[in-house]
Amino acid sequence: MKSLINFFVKVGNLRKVLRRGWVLIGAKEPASVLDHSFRLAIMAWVLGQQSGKEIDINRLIKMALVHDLCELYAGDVTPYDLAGLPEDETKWPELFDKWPRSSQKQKQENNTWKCEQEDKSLQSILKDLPVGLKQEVYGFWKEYEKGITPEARFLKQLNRLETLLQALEYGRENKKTPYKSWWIGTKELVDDPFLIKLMEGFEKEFPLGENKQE
Amino acid sequence: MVEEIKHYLSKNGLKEIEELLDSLNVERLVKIKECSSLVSHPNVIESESFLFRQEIAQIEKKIREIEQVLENYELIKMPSKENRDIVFIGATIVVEVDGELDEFSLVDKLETNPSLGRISSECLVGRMLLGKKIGDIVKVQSAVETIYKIIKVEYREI
Repeated sequence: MKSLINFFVKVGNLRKVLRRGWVLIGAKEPASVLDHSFRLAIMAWVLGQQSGKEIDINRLIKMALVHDLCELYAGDVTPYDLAGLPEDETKWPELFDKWPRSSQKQKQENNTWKCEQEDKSLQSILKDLPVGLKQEVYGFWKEYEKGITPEARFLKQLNRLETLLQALEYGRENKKTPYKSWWIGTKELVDDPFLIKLMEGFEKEFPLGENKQE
Repeated sequence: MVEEIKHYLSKNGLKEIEELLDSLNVERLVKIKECSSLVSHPNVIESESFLFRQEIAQIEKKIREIEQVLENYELIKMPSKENRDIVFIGATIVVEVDGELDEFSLVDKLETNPSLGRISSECLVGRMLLGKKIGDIVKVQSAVETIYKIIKVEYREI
């Protein structure tokens, strides 16, 4: 039981890991990894059911809940961090008007490094758990990272959409047009027709130019 | 992976899917072994063996899905020499976006991973780029407009 309690404490500590993108744009109350994972799991459950796809909802929700556990020690590293941030912090928010661009080789090197950090972090989080549970959680993370199964593909896209939704909410709360990068990143990832409709729904619900006090 | 549509895979993508199938087959055998030793145990409760059976059924479902992909795929072919400046699935392209250069390959949705520079040919950007040539300018509209200028088109191992 002790190992399980320690695990639950570690999971709870994810509320202290703030989503890096929101920190970089200077959001007043940045959402944590725990906040993000919770809403993603709800979205996965509801939208997975409504999508009409042959998706295993049970597996989808579990995958959503554990997909960012690794960030407890590895942190939430954004492509902007990997590209190198300017020293002047006041310039960080404006970076988010562009999606970070690089060669394919650079992307692959960054991804390899990030996966290694996350793998180490997750192994450390899971090390004292019963073997079956450890394998299950690690297996879900690996499956998500590979992104081949229907559940992993659906969740990867939903992950981007949850982030976009959060960006739109921050924009509305702060009466500022959300930075463009979240839209661009979503257009370059989402290919599921059901989720493309969700993205179009966001466009209608959060029309550009609604925040007139900029 | 249950959709009965043709998948256009790279050699590496195919290898990854075959490896996934192998690991699932191993996982299935391990679970079956664990389940049978559990059932023979005198103190085992029904719910435990039920959970095992459920897990095995899930693994078998995934195996069937992957087998369907493997029955319905085609390896990406390099286009003829005169068409190699056109973007087809399997192309690796350099584009100029917002004054910066970006490089990615257009792939089947099963191989999509933007972190590795692999964009789905079915996402909004992928769909608009397909069939375009070096020098073409592609505008992708949504809440924000993004403009991609195709600088280079290449066909190489993805």
